[in-house]
Amino acid sequence: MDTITNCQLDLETTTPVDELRFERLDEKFQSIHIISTVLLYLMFGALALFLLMIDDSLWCIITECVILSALILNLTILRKAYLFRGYALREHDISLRRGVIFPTVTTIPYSRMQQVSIGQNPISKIFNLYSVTVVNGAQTQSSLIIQGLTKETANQIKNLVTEKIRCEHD
Amino acid sequence: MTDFSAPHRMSPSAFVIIFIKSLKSIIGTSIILIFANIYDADSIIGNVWLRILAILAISAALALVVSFAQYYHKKFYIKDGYLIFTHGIIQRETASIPLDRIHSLRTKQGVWYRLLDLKGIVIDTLALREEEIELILDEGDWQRLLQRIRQEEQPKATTEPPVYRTDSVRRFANKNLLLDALCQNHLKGMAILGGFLSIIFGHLNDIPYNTFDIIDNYAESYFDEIAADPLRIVPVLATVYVIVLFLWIGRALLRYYDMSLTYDRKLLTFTHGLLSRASSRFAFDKVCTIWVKRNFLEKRFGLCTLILRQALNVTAKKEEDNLKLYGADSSSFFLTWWLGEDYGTAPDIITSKSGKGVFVHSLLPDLLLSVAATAVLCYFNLYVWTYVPAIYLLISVVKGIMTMRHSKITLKDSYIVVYGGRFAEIENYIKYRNIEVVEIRSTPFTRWFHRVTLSISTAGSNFSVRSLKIAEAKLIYELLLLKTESTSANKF
Repeated sequence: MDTITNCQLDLETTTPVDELRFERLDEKFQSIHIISTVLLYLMFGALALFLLMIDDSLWCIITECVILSALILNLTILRKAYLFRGYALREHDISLRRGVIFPTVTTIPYSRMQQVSIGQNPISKIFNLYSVTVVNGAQTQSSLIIQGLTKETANQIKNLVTEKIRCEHD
Repeated sequence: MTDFSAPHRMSPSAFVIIFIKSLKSIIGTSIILIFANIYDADSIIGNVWLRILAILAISAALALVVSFAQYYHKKFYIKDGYLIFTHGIIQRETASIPLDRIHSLRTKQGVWYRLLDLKGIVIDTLALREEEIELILDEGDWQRLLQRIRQEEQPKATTEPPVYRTDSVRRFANKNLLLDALCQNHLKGMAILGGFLSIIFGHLNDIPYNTFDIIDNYAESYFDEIAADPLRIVPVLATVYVIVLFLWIGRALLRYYDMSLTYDRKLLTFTHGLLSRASSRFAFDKVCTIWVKRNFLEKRFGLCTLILRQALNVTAKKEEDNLKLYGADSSSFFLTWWLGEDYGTAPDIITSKSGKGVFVHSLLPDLLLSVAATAVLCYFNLYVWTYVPAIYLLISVVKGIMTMRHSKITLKDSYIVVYGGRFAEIENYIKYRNIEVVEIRSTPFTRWFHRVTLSISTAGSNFSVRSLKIAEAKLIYELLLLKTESTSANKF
């Protein structure tokens, strides 16, 4: 017969996700965010310039102004986004909080994790920051990426998560 | 002889394979350059062959540098039950994969591999989107790695599905299949047929423009005739509907005719098909969701549409591994098989219903579409046709209300039911042990309406329940995580 579990669920002793203290990312992550955003908008601007300049300079100026306004707006909310973004580790799961317009909290139980990796991209390399990627088997949201970590913190998280995965398995 | 306990590069001959792969990719991208150079009269190097040779030499040199860097930086080792893999030149990454999470180890041996006596070992986990990790090893290293993985790998927990007599057979009546095929929403098929016809119409551009003009003029004059009397469109739509209906039934009969199911406690094997018999197998442990749909007609005739969704990975593609069952309502049979005998009597832990946000979310795109269509029709003075977007909007309002009424989530002791659907009622049954990710999302309106969206992701499906009361959603969120944890602790 199929085993039907009926375990006691102890909500009293569990710290709910919305009451968790989310750890902030390194201050230098803000600079990475700013550089990435500016680079992205520069690309948009260059593309618009390339596509519209030949035919219609008026439309080109309007598009560039819209892109510039969007960039300014985006830069103003980056600080808020940075302050909101964070991660929290609990006994059985890891949570990531992000988003300013659509604040989102994503949680993955350790027992569902498939692999953990530490990585660096060219921009984060300049600031000596790392990211930890936790991969699970979900069809969507198959990875949770915690960016803007120092090497020490990234290693700590990775070791903790790998240890937890082992404990959950045992 | 290595035991893979320290960081280890791949076999030296693997460098050749990496070099060939890099060379192929670089030459693939520089092929345009080669063609451009053939016709470049102003080039510094006069001879065409010399120019091509120079490009090839540069490509080879570049491939040599890239492949060496790739080979040099790619290391792997096994430690404490993990396969640790370091790679990347610009973007460095160290991935740790628990050995017990390795879904499959596939080997591949192309021509170059065979010439160099190497094997490409592809490591798949259940992580669907993650890039495959390929290790290129010689036979000795491959055998030693396999032995080491077997040593380190811990025995997996086995689940005990319900007991059934082996080789039990269940047959599905063709009459019910036909009846259920008739009960489906064929309007979706009309949209597909419309899309297909629009593609054909798009290809008409390839025909000489005179022909196109003739068709265009004919269509315009015909449209003017119809525009004068909108009711003339009804027979056209009815004809298309009948065609779609026949196509639907034909497809259902071709695929699912004379379906029979052989089942035991661990496996369901379906055989079906009119012209060629196909078989589909569903392992108890691989099923991650049971999807049950009943529309008004299906409920009236005691029918249902059912899908057994399986866990997906890199070796399993989305639709190939899912089977749609049309016919008599057999949901209780499959749910008993998967969830246990007492699935129907299990009490609810908590139920949360969606609010009006679902209605708005459902209506908004249709509202925008209707407004845009009305504006276009008014612009072209086709006022008489504005009844079409008006009817469409009216249907959308009904659809929105129905969606809101159906949308809810119920937590039971050993499984969850996510209810949804627009005009039809849809039930998604999920076991806690299949939950991979839980997410809660607010919107800019949350501060006023106190509603959030709860998302649950499994290895084969994803569900979002919108506009749930914030307090209920948070409680469900915690319960889902606790139950997920407790079921994995109990090796459910």
